[in-house]
Amino acid sequence: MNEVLVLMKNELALTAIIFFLLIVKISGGMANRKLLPVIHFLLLLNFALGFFFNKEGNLFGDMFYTTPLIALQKHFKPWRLSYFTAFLRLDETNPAPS
Amino acid sequence: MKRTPHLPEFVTLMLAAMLGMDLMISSANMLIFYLSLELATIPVAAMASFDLEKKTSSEGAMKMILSSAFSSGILLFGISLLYGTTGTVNLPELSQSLNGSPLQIMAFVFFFAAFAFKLSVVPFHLWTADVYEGSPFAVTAFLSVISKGAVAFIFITMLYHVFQPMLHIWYMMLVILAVLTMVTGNLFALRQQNIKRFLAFSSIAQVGFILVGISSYGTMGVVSATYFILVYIFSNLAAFGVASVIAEKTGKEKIDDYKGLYQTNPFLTWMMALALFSLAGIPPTAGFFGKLFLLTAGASRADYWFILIAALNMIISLYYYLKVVRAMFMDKNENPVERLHTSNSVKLGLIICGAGIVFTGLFSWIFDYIKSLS
Amino acid sequence: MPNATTIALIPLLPFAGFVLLGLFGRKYVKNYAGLIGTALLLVSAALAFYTAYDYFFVAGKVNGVYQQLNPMKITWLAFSQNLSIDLGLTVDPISVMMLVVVTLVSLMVHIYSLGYMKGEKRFSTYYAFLGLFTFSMLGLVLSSNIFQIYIFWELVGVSSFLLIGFYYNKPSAVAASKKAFIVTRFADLGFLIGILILSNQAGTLDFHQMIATLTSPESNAVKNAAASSFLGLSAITWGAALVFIGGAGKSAMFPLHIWLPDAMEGPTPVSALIHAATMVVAGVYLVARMFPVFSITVPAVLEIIAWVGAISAIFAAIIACTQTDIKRVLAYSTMSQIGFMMFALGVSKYGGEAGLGYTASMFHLFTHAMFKALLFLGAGAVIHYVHSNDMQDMGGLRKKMPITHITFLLACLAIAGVPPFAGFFSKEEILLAAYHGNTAIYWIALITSGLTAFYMFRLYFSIFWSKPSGANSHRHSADDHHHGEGGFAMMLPLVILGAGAVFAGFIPFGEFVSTDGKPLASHFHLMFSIAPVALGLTGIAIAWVLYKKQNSKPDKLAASLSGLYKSSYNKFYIDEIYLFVTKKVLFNLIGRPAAWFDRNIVDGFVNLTGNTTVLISEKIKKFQSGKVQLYAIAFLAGVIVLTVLFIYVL
Repeated sequence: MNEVLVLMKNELALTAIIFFLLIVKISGGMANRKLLPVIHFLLLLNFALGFFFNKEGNLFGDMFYTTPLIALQKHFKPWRLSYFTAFLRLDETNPAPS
Repeated sequence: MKRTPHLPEFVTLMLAAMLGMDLMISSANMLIFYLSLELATIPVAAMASFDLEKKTSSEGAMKMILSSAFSSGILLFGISLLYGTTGTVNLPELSQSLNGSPLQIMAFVFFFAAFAFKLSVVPFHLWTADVYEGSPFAVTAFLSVISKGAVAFIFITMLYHVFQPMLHIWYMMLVILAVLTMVTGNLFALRQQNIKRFLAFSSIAQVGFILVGISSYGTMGVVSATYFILVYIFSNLAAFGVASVIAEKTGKEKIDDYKGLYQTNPFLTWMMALALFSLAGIPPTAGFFGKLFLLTAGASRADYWFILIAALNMIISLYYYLKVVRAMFMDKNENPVERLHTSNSVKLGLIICGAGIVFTGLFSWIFDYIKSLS
Repeated sequence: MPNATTIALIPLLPFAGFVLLGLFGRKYVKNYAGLIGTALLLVSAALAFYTAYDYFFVAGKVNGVYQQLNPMKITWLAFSQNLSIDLGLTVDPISVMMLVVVTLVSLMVHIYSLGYMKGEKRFSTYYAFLGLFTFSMLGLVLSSNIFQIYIFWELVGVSSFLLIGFYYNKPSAVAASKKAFIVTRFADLGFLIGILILSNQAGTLDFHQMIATLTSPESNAVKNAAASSFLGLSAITWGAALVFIGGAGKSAMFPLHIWLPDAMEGPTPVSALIHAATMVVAGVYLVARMFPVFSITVPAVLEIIAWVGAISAIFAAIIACTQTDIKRVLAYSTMSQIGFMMFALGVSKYGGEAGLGYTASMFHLFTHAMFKALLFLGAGAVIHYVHSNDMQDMGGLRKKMPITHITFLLACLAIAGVPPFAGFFSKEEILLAAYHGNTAIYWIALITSGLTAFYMFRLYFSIFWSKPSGANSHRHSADDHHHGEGGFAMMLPLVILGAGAVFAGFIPFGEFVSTDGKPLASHFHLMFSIAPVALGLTGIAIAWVLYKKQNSKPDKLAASLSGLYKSSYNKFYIDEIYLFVTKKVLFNLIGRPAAWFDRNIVDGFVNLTGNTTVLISEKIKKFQSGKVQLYAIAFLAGVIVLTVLFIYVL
């Protein structure tokens, strides 16, 4: 079990954020202005997580494998995503002229 | 995305696509690979149609989902042929049973075509421009940068570790397609007037360069492609970022609208110029080192014609990137884009990208770190 | 061993000036920007002179041979175990010599600009750019690694682009800077590919190791390289030739020279810095730096270098005889003199007496820097005074500008090769080397040196003696009393460089710089010098007859030689040829068919399939999705073509 936690940390963290969003949505939602910083923060955590516990290994009978290089390649993504969400705030602060 | 009430859904879709990509990079089994590829594709199509008021947005999404379905069909056919000839879907075992029979070559071409489609390699690229133009900016950037990066990584793994017995075949295939891709991407980028289409076609040309690096088959190939993708992410996001700020606030998407931008928005102009310099590969930006490493990796096979064509394409691309820079800095414009107020989060995002463009090139330990991992 | 910190400071001080003035110049130190930049450069120049003293007289020699030292080396990027990009400093005779030249000329230009650019709106920006340029040039000179040199090479290109285009309101200046940038970039591409090939063959980027590997006939690299060939030439030959193309682009060698005359649109002191003494000799420096490779491994390329140099020398000299813009005359003269340096390297061999050409080339680079910078600065003073670039608007200025007149005359005598001025000694050595190396080139050089004397004195007499003949000449002569020659800041550099033009020739250069580091005794044969000196004096005499007083002889002569005169005046139509090739040939042969294909085949195909499917799909749906079918067809066609290709053909 521990093995799964370490090797799939990227995937698990993403799933956790997805569940978080689902719960937010179900429980009546949140203003975008408030929600975005939270998402930012979670993604930042995800990003920070990418620096630790990178090792090589197989899971589920060789269906899933990872190495430090693969972890790095996955790691390229979280901060990119937080970058996007930064752009989503565009309209919040400056409504378009239309 | 204008004041959308569906922000959580949008982010969820994005995260789901990302989860798919992560699983895809890690997959060691054809079925897992296929499932995660679909997981990485379908949410993006939903995202592409998110600009609910725009017809082009839903049209783009429709085109994307149809073409993706087509390519998935071909991919599945390829996988089933591979399974039929080898009797396994497990990648390490698959690799050992490959013998290069005509049927396997055909299966490999099908398989390869699906990757080529995702990476928008010519002639599998046709969907790119329409989808890019129609989708919201964030989705365009996502498609052109993130999904391409992820697919390129798994592509390298597949070629180097699984289809390694077919080395001579995929090498020739890469050479042919890389040349086609660079030339076509560049020729089309030259003619574009719309900044989104321009970036779309120039990113096709950039993929051609990635193929040059991949073709080298060796550590240098993995390292240079990984490094280039990192740099490419910074540069392309900065370019798309600036373009999206301008498009979202003024609705202007033509390159002609960028004339005289420097007079009113110096910060955005410098960021755009930096990004374009890096994409064009002008030293000392990181893009230069990225391209240099790719070409050096490609040159290790001593196919000098191939490298010469790649280098010539670098020059052509220089021309059209600098054309935009010239428009922003030097051309006069009676009514340029008005002075735009950019929020701090956007500024921060752009500055991170700009710093990335400069420092990834200057700090050698980033390259060394990637190298030490592979 | 020279101190690494001291040497590193030499380029870093101008860089500090760039950062300081670039960031704070416009707001805070506006009026002191020039002084700050100049002070920093003064320190840098002092350090350079100290380094030169230390190297040549104290620490450089071991057993009578000058050593190549690397006081600093940092590994920056490691490609593989043995291929890495380093940041290093090279200290050897030529790099130390270049340090002195670059810092001295740059310092003179800094001082001169205090007067010349006074009142300029972007004064501090100008000094920031000067600092950046000086930094890149010094970095280029000190590079220990071919890749490092490339990076500084590009930086030099960028900063010269900024300086040439400094008057960005002037369309011609912007066009000129663009032209310079594009032409040199094409050459740089050759350079880059050359670097890739050579480093691939040698397995290293470090100059020292690369030269060692590529020059020893036993090494595997040379053996393998001789075996592998591309279009009939070995890989090393290709690499070396491409590296030379890079150098030829920067040094404005024929036929890549077209950017140099246009680049004169920049401020005149900039021309003195960039186009006389520093950037344009970078190509010569590059060939000299890799000289052992050229001369031992690929003598064929060296032969090409010699001919390119010789052709450039005489070609530019002929054009210079008919130009009327004084800066353009100087530009072509520079090209001609760099041609001298190039072919001197080309006819040289490695080691001992046979390496005279190498010493002569570096010697000429040194003296040329002095008198050409002086000529440009003097021309700047004249332009400042007359407000025109055209020599027809000038004349009779010797009384009004005495200091400029005297120093200009000294420089003209030096470039014409009149003894005992600086140019005489270096040119004599070059001619001697050519005489022993390649007789045909010797004759070309001899004629060129006669032409040089003629066009320089044509310039001199037109400016300082005869009366102005141009249309707007009276406008300025009436109100010229309101400013004099220019202040102290502008005169001091002229005087210092004038002293250099007179005395630099007496330096026993062979003692310090030679192919193998051993001293080379300089020798003069009186008989040998008679021919060039006599030719030079004849050139001066002809110029005296034709241009000393206002008369109709030049026009008559021009009329009688009208064909030659016209083609020379129009620079042998090289620009037009380039335009023809790019606009007509490339456009028609490649651009047109590509556009046609694109418009008629691709678009037509798209429209055709699009239209038919639209008709059907519009009835079903509200939007046009017809293109999707086309995408699928293209996809399938790609798959089929690849499958057939790889199963049946390959």
